[in-house]
Amino acid sequence: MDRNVAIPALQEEQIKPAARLQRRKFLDMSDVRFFTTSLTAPAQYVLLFIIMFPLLAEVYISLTAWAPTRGGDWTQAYRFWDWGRNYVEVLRDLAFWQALGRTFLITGVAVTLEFLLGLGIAFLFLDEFPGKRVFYALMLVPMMIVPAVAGYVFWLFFQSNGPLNAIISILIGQPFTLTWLANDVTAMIAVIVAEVWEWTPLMFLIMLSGLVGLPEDQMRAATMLGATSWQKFRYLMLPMLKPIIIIALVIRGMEAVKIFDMVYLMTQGGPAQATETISIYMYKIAFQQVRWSYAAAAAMTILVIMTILASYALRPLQTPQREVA
Amino acid sequence: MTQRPTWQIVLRYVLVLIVVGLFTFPTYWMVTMAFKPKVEWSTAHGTIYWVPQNPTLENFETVLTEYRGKFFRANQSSALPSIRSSIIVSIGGTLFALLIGTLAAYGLSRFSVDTGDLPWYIALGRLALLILVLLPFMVLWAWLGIIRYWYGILTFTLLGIGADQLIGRLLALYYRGPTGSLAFSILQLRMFPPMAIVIPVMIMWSAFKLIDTWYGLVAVYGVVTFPFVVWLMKSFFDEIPRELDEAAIVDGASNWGAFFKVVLPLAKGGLASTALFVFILNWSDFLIALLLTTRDWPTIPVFLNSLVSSEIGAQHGPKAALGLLAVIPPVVFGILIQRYLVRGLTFGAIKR
Amino acid sequence: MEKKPIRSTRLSRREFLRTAGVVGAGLVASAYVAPAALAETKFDAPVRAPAVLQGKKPGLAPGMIGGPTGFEGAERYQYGPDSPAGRAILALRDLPADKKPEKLVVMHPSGAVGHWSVPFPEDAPAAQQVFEEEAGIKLEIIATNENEQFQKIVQDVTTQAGQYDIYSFWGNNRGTLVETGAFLTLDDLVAQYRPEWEEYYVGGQLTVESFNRYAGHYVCVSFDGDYQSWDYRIDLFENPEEQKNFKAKYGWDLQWPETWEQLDQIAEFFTRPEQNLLGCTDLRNPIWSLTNWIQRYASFANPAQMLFDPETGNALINSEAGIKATQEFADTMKYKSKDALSWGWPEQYNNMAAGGAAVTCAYPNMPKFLDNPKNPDSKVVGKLRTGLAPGRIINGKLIRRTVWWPNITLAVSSQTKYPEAAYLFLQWADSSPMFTFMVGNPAGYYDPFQKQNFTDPVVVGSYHEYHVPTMIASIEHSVPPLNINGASEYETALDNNLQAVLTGKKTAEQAMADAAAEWNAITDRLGREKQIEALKAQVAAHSTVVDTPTIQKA
Repeated sequence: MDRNVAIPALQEEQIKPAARLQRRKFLDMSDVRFFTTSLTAPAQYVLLFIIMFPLLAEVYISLTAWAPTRGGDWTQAYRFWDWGRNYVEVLRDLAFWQALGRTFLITGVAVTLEFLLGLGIAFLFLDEFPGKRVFYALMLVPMMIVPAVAGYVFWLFFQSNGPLNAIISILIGQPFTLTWLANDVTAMIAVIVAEVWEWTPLMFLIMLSGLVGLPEDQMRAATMLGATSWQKFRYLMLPMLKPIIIIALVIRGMEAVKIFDMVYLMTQGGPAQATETISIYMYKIAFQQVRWSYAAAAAMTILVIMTILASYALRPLQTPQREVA
Repeated sequence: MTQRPTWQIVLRYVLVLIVVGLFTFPTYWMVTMAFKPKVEWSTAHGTIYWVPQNPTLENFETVLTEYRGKFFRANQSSALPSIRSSIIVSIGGTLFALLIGTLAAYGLSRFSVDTGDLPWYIALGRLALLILVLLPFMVLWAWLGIIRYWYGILTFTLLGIGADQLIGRLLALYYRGPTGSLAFSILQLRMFPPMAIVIPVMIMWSAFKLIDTWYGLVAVYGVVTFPFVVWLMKSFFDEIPRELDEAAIVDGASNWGAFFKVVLPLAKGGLASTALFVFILNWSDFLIALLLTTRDWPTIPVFLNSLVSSEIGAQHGPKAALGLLAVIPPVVFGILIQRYLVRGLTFGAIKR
Repeated sequence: MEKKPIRSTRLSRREFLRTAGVVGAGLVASAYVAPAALAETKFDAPVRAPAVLQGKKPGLAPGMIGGPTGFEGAERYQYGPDSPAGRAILALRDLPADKKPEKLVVMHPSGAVGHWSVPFPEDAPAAQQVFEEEAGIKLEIIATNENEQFQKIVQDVTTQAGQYDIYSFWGNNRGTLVETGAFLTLDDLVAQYRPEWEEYYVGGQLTVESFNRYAGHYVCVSFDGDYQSWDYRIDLFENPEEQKNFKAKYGWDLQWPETWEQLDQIAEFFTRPEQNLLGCTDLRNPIWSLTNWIQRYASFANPAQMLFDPETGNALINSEAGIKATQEFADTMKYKSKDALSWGWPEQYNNMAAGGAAVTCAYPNMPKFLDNPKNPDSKVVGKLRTGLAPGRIINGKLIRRTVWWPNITLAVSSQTKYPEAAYLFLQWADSSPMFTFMVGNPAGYYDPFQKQNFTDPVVVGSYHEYHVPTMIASIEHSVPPLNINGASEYETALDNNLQAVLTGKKTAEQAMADAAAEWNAITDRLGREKQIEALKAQVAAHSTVVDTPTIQKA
């Protein structure tokens, strides 16, 4: 049925919550239920289907002391039943907690930097200037580069006689040959730099659309009333931007916690575990040391921790719950 | 608009140049490396070639053709199959995630109580219950020896889904408030590193003979990114007032009609940006492809990783060349949907 | 900002979907067309149909039944019926139909596939071709990233996918992989077909124990001789100025040293960063540097300082020997690049090729690649010589020990449907004539370790005359690296502690104590009895050669 419908522009504020609930009763309830199910069912069942076995298999293996080196057949793992010993070991494993701590450190620092830079650069791009389109496109490129490639490029970058040191040498006038990747702190810095480089464009994009969406008339009014730029920013823009800032931080934070590719290609977690994030740690346990039951226990522990954290992290984003009819 | 003082304009321009320059430099480095001949790759001797002295296309040739040994270059397969693989798998995964995710997002947006963001004790509690119930079955299946075959896994999964529904009903009886379902509890696993479950997925995939196939990879990509789609699309749908749905229904459209003809077109921008992000996520993935492909379907990042072997060590030029080629599809995609992009990116947070 | 009116919805969904569909279809289509037009997707050497040759192949010397033909010197690589290769080929031809596959799927490190696919010399047939013709079985060689071999084997075993007939891996992962059940035990096949490895490997049974056996069984076949050997710049050593200055400072004639102390003196003498010259660039990066530590460690006792006590399974690295070795390991950092902790062998080789180091320790192939007039990047052509690893003088005797690592090794998958065919392929390929035929080929990095390799003119031509005595001596003076079950865990534990010493975070004593404690914990977790069994079997793989020191101080 073809419809040429020109929808009038409705302001969200015009619709009061009560009115919304009232109108819902328009729809036939049984019709609704079937419709709802068919909307959400594919997703739900696909997800269930794919998660069910791996999850249970993971739990099963984690409760045993099995490893491929005990005979490669995981299905016989019950022969090495161990109850919770792996979990106790995980809780006592310093390397595990350090890796987790490092991951949060990198995430925290990187995401904060990305946000601040993204916001700052978005301000720069707010007005028109010649060549804006080109610069805009260039700003977005880092996001499009596969992290595996980026990790590799930055590895080249941070070599002691690589381009970065060369640039610094030129700037300070003296030969500068710091071995970035051989030193704990600087390796961490290098990883954070790579991560920030790759994802600041995303924050920039989000912040820019946020800034662009701010009501212009209010801004003008504030200026005319004598507000300084700083006051305008702090008391007018920031509160309006808050929801979008939170969303951006959460999106980016959730992804940053999983960081693997770049670190793997730049430092493999080195030097000597200085940049070992939780994903790299689990990779090493699972594929270099082949201790699969231990890796499974670590994975389950992470599951619990991340669920708890996600729950708190996502709280600011919760839309108000609607009442069940 | 008030005219800014000149020095501010100039300052802004200078800052833009610096910032964009900084962000572009690594890309520039990669691009120039792709065109450098072998002698200019290594920075070990202390000379850096800022601009390739003798730009050449041989890196592209190396990476795109099947190489059959000359001196010092051990055998190397072409990167073209991996490019093909990446394209197919990324697009497939994106479409799959968009398909099931958008539908679910609409459902959540319009009709459901559960947003999926449950308190953690509910989510974990439900998960724990499920594990408690199913673990004995897992051990039983293993002891029977059937769990290693596809029918064993299939029957176990069906059993599990059934158990999950039962638990949902049970919880709803005693607990007032959102109980979600396992699936939406998993939405909270967005922060969960894929590394953690990739081993059992690998086992399951090989029982179903999905290892090293494009559809196997598409399925995993779809599942891994679908929560992201749901979350994003839901916020776009929330931005569209439901009066529009209802108006359409009052005018005689069916529920599906209201969705496809009225709501979805309005969410075009959101759909486009979600599609782009998901595509980039899939395109960049390394770990999942590393573990789920062997010979025939490695994706670009996996193939890149393997360009290390021969005597000369990492082949900087060909890797950069491949990296450069790998930038093109996301950029193309971005350009195609560009006009939908900026409008769509506020995620419903800004009230107009 | 003005609000844009919401656009008409008519056709817009269709339009979007259509665009998306067209674009998607276009991309997919082009992705298909392009590869088909430009390249094959599977690795395949140019091969004539592998029809088994009936009767005698033309070009074979009298009495020979197989081997490459058609180029000068081909007779050297041919074999008769009563030789390991001959027996293998005859057995392969005689296999009943149900035991003879159409093709064998062979995993192989991508850097070594060249030995099979690239003809060398130019007019010779490729090794793959020779096999396919003579045995009538195709070879599907899957080039695999070296770092992923181990993981792929573990994957293959645990998922029971059975994707390969033959696995390739680094020899030091032998123990772990054996314990996963990935390999077929070869004892029966070895007894039946007699590969005679102990006859033609240099070092005889010592080398066979070190490479092909584990815990008392034959489990794999070595295709490489990665004995760490030392390379030095003869132009520097023979320079009269240098010699004079050196003797004046240290009191002995500048020459290839016999002890570690002497080596360190040479390194100190030649460390001249202002001239872009480093004294000694043996590796210090994670994992790869362990060989350099083991060389220093193993020479502390007569006949060898072991890593574990074979009677109790306890780690012995926290002994005096371990602490001293670690101390030296850290002290010698000053003779290396500032980036030494992140230098891998690519950086090391490139640096040596550019003339940036006086001495280094590397794979035996360094002269093959760097002292090669055809190598456009090498500035040290004609300026290299090699020497055996230095050692220590204990009670008047000189103990010098080197180690092999990691070493390309092949094994038969326990899931293969054609165990005889797979094993016979390995016996044939590893046999003296065939391996010699392949090892001289510069398109791959096999290194020689068999007696015939060192007398073959092509191989010697590649590796240089001066290198042969070094390689032979290295093999005879070798100890095995960590290769029992859990090798990579032990390596990681030791490596983390060594890296901590190199970065100044731990003292040598502390590091060794920690490492030994971790090692003992690992041993207990993996099953001490099993480890002891494997350790006892490996005692025979440690060299017992003892020399007399000759360098005199003036």
